[in-house]
Amino acid sequence: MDEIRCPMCGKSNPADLEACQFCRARLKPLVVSPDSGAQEPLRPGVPPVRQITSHLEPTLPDWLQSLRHGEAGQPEESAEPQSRAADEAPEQPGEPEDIHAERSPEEGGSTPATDTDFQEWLASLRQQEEVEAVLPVEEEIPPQEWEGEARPVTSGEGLDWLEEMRAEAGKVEMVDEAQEEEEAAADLPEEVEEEPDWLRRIRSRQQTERLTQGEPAEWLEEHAADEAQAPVEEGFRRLQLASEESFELVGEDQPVGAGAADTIPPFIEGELSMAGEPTDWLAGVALTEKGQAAPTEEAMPEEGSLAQVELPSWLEAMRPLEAPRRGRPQVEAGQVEASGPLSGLRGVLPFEPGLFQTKKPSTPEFNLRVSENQSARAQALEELIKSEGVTQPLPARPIVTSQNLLRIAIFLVLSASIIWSIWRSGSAAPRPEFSPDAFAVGSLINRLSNLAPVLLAVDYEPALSAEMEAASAAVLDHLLLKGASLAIVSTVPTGPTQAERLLSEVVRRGNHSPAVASQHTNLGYIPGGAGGLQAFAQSPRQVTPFNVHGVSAWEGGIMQSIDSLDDFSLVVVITENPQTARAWIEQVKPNMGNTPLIMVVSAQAEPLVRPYYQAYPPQVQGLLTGLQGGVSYERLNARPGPAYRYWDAFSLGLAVSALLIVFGGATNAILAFVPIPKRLRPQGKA
Amino acid sequence: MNLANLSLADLAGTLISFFLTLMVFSYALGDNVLFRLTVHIFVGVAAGYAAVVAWYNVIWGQMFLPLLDGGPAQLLYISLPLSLGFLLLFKASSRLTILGNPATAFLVGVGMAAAVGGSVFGTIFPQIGATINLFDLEAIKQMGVSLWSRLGQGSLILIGTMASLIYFHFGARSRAGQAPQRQSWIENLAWVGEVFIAITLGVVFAGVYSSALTALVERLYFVGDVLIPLVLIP
Amino acid sequence: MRGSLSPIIALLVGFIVLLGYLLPFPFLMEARQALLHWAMILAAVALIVGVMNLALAHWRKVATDQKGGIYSAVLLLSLLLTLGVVGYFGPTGSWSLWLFRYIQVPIESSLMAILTVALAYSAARMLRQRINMFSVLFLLTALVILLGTAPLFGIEVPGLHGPDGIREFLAQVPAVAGARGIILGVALGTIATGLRVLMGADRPYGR
Repeated sequence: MDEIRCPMCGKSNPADLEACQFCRARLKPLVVSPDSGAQEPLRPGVPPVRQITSHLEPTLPDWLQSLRHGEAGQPEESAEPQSRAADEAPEQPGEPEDIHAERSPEEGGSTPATDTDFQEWLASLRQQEEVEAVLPVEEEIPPQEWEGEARPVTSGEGLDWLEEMRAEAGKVEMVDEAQEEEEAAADLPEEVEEEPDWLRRIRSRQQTERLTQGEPAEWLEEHAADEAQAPVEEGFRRLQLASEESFELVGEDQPVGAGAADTIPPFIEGELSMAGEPTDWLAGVALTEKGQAAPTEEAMPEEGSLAQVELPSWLEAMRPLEAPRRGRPQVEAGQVEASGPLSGLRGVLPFEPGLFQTKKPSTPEFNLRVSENQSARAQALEELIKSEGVTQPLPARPIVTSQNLLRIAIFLVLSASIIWSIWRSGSAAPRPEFSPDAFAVGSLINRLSNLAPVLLAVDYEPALSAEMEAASAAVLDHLLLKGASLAIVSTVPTGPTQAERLLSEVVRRGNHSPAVASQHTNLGYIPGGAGGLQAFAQSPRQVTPFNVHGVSAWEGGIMQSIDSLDDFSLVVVITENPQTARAWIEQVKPNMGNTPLIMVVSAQAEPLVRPYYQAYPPQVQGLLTGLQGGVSYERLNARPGPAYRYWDAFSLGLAVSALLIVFGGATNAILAFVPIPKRLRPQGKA
Repeated sequence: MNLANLSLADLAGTLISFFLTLMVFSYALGDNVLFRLTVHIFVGVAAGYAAVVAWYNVIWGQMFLPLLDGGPAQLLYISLPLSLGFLLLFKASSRLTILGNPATAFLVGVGMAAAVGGSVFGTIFPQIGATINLFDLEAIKQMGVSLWSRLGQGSLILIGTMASLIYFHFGARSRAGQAPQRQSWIENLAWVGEVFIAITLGVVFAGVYSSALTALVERLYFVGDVLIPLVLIP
Repeated sequence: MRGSLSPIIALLVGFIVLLGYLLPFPFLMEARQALLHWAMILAAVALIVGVMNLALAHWRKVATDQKGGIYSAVLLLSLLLTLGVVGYFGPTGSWSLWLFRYIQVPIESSLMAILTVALAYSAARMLRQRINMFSVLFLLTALVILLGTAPLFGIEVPGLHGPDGIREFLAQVPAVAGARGIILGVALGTIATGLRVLMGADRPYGR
């Protein structure tokens, strides 16, 4: 299969394709069919063929002809008519001065190329006086000076050249010179500003007529129609008038001064024939009455209103199939600028800011060249980014795991051992011997006299009521045996209730008399932690004026003699919290004087309370710890209590727990050095 | 426990306690609805109990009763805690919580001052004195213990106390290109202190376990006290 | 200026309370006592505010039909029931005691009992998580204390049990040394934190 190489990307494509399959550029250039009468497409680098228009010289006005003949090689003088015309133009109000004032012969728009054409045109005009018939001339004619005055054109002559022009139009092929046309259009503003009036006048004549189509310009037709009626002299007079006065150059729809229409400079004609295109830029130039150039709306051809411009093949090949479409800015026609340096001009951008609504340019549509692999990766990345904000559901945890099984096993083993001990009953475990700590507490309580006021602080939470009741029951029992008057206080909200419950249990278990049980005053709850204890230590009457029943606590019984804490014979604190124990030691002990302090603490608080007990001088005079301390004290008093009841099961439970910890710890220590198989690893862990 | 001797209220209470105990023990199988229900019941009852006790023992008796029965001096005395207490109520509102800041500041100021004073005069001075007095020969004589064993114990306690304190010193010097590091003698003493702290925390852990085991024993005894009569009766 | 009222209050009252530790002047002692008493009363009000906050939080959960709203409803119901019963009969009334004895104590004791399983499990797995000298020493000490607290299957092991055993030595010498260092450190930290709060460097009470 034949292949064709793309002029843009260089890749091979099948020959039957119109556009490249990779970059969408046109593979085959656009070529105008011979039937349309178009010339061969212009290739880049091929110079245009110059056309000679010397046969139009007779139509020039006298002054122009005189210029051509008398001023050859004098560019400054050739610019004089321009300046003369410019000076003769009446000043228009609001006219920008810089356009006319700054116009100098050098800036009169006379470019070297224009001067050359102008001289040629002048020379051709001279020759035409001698030549009756207008002959189509292909070869270049050397530039000639403009001599003499323009010969008035007779009607017959004018008609002849018109007919010849029509004939030529059929022969002249349209040359695809889009670039030159654009350049000419781009140069239009400068030329408009710098051109003399007469040249502007001439250019405004319908040079945009479609010569390639063989249709003469409208102005030519009008001229032909007019000339058919009016004598040539009349036309020449009009031209003279037109040259002397400032007059309006209008678009193609409006009649032009007939005189001016008679003369078409050959260089302009040549330019037209070279371009092969109707000069839109000439048609678009329109002057106001004030003689200023103002591009009309028609001068900006809109999309769709223009005939299709035929681009050269190489340019057309560069056009991508999906080229960005850009809209043209819409210029308001007819809006005359009233202020600023551009006053008087029509259709310019407004001076005041903010009148335009700037629009974001539309996003051009491009079709990128990406391979399948790249598009797949881009899609994967896009999905990855999207999934970042989406919460992933957690994997369902299995109900039965090894951890749950191990916990259940520990619970069952412990419970079984304790239940077995409970079921067995009887005292299998030996009771601990007398501990020095229990002995010290016993000694302190034994010193109490009958009805000695004792401050009892019940400061433990209900969670540890089992241990604390087992540890303190014997102490309470001993106090009741000694006939102590108890004043109960608590820094825990449930303390007063706990104390009542504890006391009732001790009384019931110890078979104490109800009268003894009633010898207590429940002072209630002391909030505030350390601050509340400090306040109670400073003034117990002020801080706890009433008991839990709402009755005044310090007006009856033994409490009448209590004014401060050192009036108590003993202070016993029952607590499971080391911080509470520390608060009692720090805040209350300094205000107790010589009153001893006994602490019944939980096993978990013992390490942090013992430094106070082992200090010298000791801050705590008696310390009893946990179930072991309770059992020891019950053995000391020979009055078994709850501590005795729980001791067997407790000791067996301790032994089984120690074995579980040893066995489990050893197993896990060994497993720590054994690598776990990959299939057994938890998800997400290495 | 003889269930037959219990009153109806106590019997109902005993059965309720039994089922509540089993519902809590169900946590051994894993978190479940029964356990959560029980915990929420406990929180509600504990909060309600604490609020009523605070009202009965403190607020009613020491704030509102003086308003009703007290003289001008008592009214003047109670005006400040009354107004601060009213401001403290705004702490329950998220929008007006700033109004309760003065009352909170009062509480915090008094509490912190009491804590600072207690720490200085109740812990630091006595404990430092106790550490020094470990080497008091007169005191050792009065104890009636062996001098050298007592001195040996005292030395061990002194070294352990200092090393434990130094372990909690985390000031380090930073050098260019190196991570901040304590001085070598501090590092060595901190290592010794870490040994003593490990032993102390081991004893604490054993104490916590003992307390929990005592609670388990008591609860299982209770469950047995309920179940055994029900099993033996038929 | 509005924001500096609370720190001024905290500084002023704290300064008076602290001075009372050092200067036993009668006027100062009376002012100090009044401040402590008022703080104690405000602490009770703060407890009530805390309970109100708890109720509001759970009420919002129930009212907005959030997940776990049924548990919040149970909590609110038990709270209201307790407030009614204990408020009517008093903290030491018979039904208050019934509520305390058959509802609160069993639940709290059971929660403490179930802690045994968790502690045993964590002790068994400790060496797997982190095995070094200090973790081994920690575990060994705990085992010695546990085994030395009660007879081992009815047998008192010489050297382990008794007042001269290793258990008593560990609890009375190295544990006391470490505990003394800890409580001294806690006391120093309390002093530093308290002075920072009193000087306004820390403001836990808000601006």
